[in-house]
Amino acid sequence: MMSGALTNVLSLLPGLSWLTGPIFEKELRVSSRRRRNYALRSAYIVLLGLFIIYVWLISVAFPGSGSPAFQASRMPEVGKHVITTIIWFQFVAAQLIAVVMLSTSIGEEIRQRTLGVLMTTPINSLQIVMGKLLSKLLQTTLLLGISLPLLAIIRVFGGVPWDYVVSSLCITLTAAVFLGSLSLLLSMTFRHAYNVVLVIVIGYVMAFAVVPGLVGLLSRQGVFSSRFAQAIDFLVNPLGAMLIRSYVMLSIPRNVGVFSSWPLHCAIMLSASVGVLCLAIGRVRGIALTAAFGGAEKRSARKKSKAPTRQDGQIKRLEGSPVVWKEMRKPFFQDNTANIVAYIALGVIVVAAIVSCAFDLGFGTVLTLMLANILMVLLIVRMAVLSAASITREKESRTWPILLATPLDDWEIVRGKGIAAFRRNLPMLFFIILLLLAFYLTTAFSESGPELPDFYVIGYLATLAGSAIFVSGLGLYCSARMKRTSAAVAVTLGVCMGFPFLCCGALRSFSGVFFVLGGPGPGAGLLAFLIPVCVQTGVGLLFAWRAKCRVRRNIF
Amino acid sequence: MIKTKNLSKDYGSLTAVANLNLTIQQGDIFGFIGPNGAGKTTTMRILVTLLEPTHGTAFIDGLDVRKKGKKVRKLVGYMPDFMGVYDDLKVFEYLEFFAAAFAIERKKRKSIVDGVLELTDLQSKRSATVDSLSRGMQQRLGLARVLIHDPKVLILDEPASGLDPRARIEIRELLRELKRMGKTIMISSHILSELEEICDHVGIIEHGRMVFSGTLEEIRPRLGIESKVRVQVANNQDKAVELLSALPQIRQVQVIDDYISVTFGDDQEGDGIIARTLVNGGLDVTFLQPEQLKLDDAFLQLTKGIVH
Repeated sequence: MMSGALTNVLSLLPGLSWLTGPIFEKELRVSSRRRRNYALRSAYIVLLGLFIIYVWLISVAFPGSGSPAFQASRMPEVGKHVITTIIWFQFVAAQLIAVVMLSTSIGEEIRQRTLGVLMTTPINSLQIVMGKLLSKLLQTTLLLGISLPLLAIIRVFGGVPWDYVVSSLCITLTAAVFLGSLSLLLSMTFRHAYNVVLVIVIGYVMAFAVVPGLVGLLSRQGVFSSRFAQAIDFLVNPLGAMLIRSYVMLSIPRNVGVFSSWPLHCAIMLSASVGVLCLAIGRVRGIALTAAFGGAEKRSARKKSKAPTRQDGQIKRLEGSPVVWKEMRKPFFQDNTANIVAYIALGVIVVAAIVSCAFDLGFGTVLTLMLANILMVLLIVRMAVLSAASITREKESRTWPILLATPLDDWEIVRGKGIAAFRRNLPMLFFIILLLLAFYLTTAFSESGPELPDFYVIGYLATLAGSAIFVSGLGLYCSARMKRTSAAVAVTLGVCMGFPFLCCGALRSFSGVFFVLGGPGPGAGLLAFLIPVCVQTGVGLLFAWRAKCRVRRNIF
Repeated sequence: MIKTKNLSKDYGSLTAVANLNLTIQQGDIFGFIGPNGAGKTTTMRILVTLLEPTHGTAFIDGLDVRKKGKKVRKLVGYMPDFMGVYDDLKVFEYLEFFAAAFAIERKKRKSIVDGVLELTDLQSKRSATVDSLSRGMQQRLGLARVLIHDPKVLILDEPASGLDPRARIEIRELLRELKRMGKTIMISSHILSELEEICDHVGIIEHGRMVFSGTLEEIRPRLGIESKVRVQVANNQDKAVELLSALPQIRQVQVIDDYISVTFGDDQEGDGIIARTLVNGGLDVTFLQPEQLKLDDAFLQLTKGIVH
């Protein structure tokens, strides 16, 4: 209803129609009829409420003791923490929502074959791109608007400058615009929305978290000026900018001088967004014509004509389980060369990390552990994507009923999909094991002795195995339950992120008791690792079993 | 070979199939006809164990589709209305995959795949990727796939939809060949004239209910349609009308342009008696043809065009 009313108001604006055409209105009208948008708003409010309650409890309720006067005097400090929580929640949520909402914008039109139809109307590329972008961003802004009254009320507690509230909102909005534009551009390239989201999330983490982290590490070694690195970080990195604004507000000293100008940061982000949008506008017509008039086929035909023709002898004969065999036919990247390059690059990075440890270059340990963790996250994400997409892809390409009409057992199908997801990740798993073992052995023979206890390596590998089983089981369950690959991947990744907090986090805390009771011995340490691993494995297998039970539901 | 007893399927408040009773004999080609949303596809999906019926039972070769799903799947070859393809497989690999899925021994697979490729005339495409095939070729590949395990029963959901006339004729010839091989075939189609040419029996379904099941000849009395013959004589049309009107078996004689339309009474047939009467009366018969009941006409008369 809110979107409908907004549509009516905004359609009266004279300047908007040349920019967005009827696309803007159509998008708002459609989104106002989708239940998931209302669910999203509800989830946003509930999560925001939970975060605020949590911060309130740890800031006010649990410290507890003290007179009412003392508590009242602490209110400005509490206000700062609550506002920071809200601002950061908004910051993360707005970016994520903008990316997710725009990840289907052009791809869906291509899949439904409506983009070509749009091109036969007087609507131009600018109107398509801006109509899509502004309609989704309006909904994101609405979500930000929901928490504005809360911000205003908490500001009454005192201690929070207006400057922080305004600058944070502007940084959040410009970051959402930039990432939304990027998502829209990538939705022209990738067939599935989850690919767009994953590429952006991984790119975001690498560009705005890992690279600044490495730069910080190097600046500590004296390679860069720390102040210069921070200034650059502030200007081009929304995460960095937000961190520094929060540090300043919470009176943690961070002096980056003139470069800490948030309007300059916002202007840079908006300029980058304009650049991305120009690219999108330039591409949209070509993409539409390709989709509408079979350019894709022509392109693939050209590609095939360049490639040597595969003769009968090159047909791969089926070995073992048909389900595993078919799944294993899909390459990591579509291009074999890209596969080889990716694995060689990974190998070089792993060897570089091991060498830095062996020659004790100072930051070798941090770098190796960071690399192992990044590889583990990538492995888990990839496993989640492969298992979550395994059944839904068949549903989308309508091969699922054909497969189910064969005498293959339901369990055979589910197990085959799970095994294939695991086997396709074996090279990455090999790199992680190699990295950890090499790290352990190189440091074990050094003068200072091993930097990691024995149980840590075993526990780490056990955690990896447990996580892999959990993620595969969960992915298969979501895939059997849902119709769309993007939905299955999103839910799998969401639960993967949430599960450690909900369950294993608590279990880890509980198993930490073994450290206390049994002392810091290797047995207790290993047990502290193994208990969550057993839980993860059990839950993963339970999910796989549920997936098997659901295979013949939601077939069509 | 195929039998349903009071088969029903509900989707919430919507009844897709209601108390459907159907019997198809071994070696028959059964045409399953109905408007969009009548329940044809739902019935077929229940028969191939992809859907559970809400009520009633269905049997394939005496096996209950609910209780003996795996055995039923071994007996049946199912081709859905929209054939999904694995776009990263070649034609041979695609067929070998399904051969393995039907638990055909590895050493036998190659010869079986080659056999169905030959039967469906796809040998030249064995190394082509499945997604590069034309629609007609993909449909043929779909037929090759359903034949890979030599099933007794074929359930084909609109196998000729979207095909050009040549491809449709090829599919029709292939179905005739399969009938000669003794397969029981259940086929749904919107192209009624094609079903007319190949089907032994037809079933007309509307609103989830079977409104007619039997041979085309059985439709006529069911609809109360009288038997008609068109006659043309070279000379003296008035005399021909006079002679025919005198016959007791004939109810009505009408002149339409240069033809004479002769309507027989109930359960009366006989183009022979007309020819004999006219020749004996000294007239030259240049044309004589019984009027065929078209499946399209029967379909229009039996259904009301109600869709869900």
